[in-house]
Amino acid sequence: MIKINNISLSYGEEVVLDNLSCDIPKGQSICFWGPSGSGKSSLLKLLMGFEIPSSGKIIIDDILLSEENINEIRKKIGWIPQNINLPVNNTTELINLLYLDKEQQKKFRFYSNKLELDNNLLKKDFHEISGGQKQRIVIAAVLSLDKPVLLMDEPTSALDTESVDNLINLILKNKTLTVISASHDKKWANANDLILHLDQ
Amino acid sequence: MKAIANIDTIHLIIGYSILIIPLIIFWYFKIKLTKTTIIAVVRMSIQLLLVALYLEYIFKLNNAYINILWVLVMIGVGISTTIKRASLKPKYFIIPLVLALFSSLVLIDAFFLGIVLKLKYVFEARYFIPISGMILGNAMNYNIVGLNSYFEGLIKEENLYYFLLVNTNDNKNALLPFIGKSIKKALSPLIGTMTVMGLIALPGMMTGQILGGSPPATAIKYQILIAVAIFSGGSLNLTLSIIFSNLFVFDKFGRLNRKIIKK
Repeated sequence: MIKINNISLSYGEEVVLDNLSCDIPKGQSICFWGPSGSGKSSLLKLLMGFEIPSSGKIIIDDILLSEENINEIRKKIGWIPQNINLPVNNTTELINLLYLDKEQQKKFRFYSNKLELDNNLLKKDFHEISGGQKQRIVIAAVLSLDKPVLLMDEPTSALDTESVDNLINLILKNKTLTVISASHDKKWANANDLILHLDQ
Repeated sequence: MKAIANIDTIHLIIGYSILIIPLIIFWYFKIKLTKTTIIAVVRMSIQLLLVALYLEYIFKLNNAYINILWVLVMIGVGISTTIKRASLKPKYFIIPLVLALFSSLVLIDAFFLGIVLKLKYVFEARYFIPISGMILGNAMNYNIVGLNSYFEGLIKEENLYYFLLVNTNDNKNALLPFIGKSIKKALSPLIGTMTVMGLIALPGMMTGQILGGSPPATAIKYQILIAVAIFSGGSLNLTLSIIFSNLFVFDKFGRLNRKIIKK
């Protein structure tokens, strides 16, 4: 269970989030929905300790997000950023950077298969493949880490309709994962168990 | 072996006149380097003149405390130059860089002067000062390149750092690609220089020793040891500088303070 209790966040005088609360039960998916600048990505950053709230608290599986507990919290989180233009040249480099062990590499092949990434494509340099293919590789790599909570920022931004369907089946229908995403994509948002509307 | 040909003042001035070549190149291609070059040459000449006077005096005294003080002054100047040229903010970097440079120098000096050269008195001015100076000067240059690449890389490729920080849940794993890239960038030129040393370039120290009357075999042995000392000292100093700096530039959430670099 993830509890967001009365969270507020400001950048200088600009209030991004004001006294926001919500509970996300284990195995559920929630999509933060709202216009640009409504604080969707900031909320994800708060959950990973990249932003510090001006007030309120976040509790993940009974652990309070704090300086002391940040490593415990991050152990549970897999993160798929919006900007998939990571300065990484190919799949092997990505796997090495994430220190995937043999078991995790097996899982990577499983998820790659589910996301329709064939071996030839996985051997290519990232500059030779499309943004959507790269995004699916990053998703497969993060899924193979087997973390119970998955945070995703605009996970479908570079994907075609068929790939979005695959991703919904693979991630949102997997009830062992708690999925928290920020998205503009209606199809993706509607496939979540919960939608949290954020206003500007 | 014949004594080295002396350079009198007139011929020293004639020697300077060769600088007309780069100055004409700058003027012809409208490259704004004339003023900087003149300042650099004047500074170099004054600094070396002063060093010659100091060293003559210091060598005569050969006092450990004065020699150590001299090296400490070199460390201070080296650190302030590194911070300035790598565009870093002093308040975050003075302590880590002093600690890194000081510990690297102590270790490398102790090893080469004490163990390899078997000096009974490691603070012997004619060994301690020039060898420390060569290690310091080179270590400073590698640090400028390495630290600049490391922190600029972290700021520019912040998304990779945060991606790895969360997904590997390990600060060290998240920093490894940046540390590797920085050390590679800083040390590659010296690896290249060592590869061709003696073939297409005769190192300054060896040439100086030969001109000063040392047999080439001795000069070469010193040159090899100096190259190894410079490489080891430079890599140790850069690695320690990064490790110690990391304690000052990240908060407890692993977030990088973006204000560490001057815009």
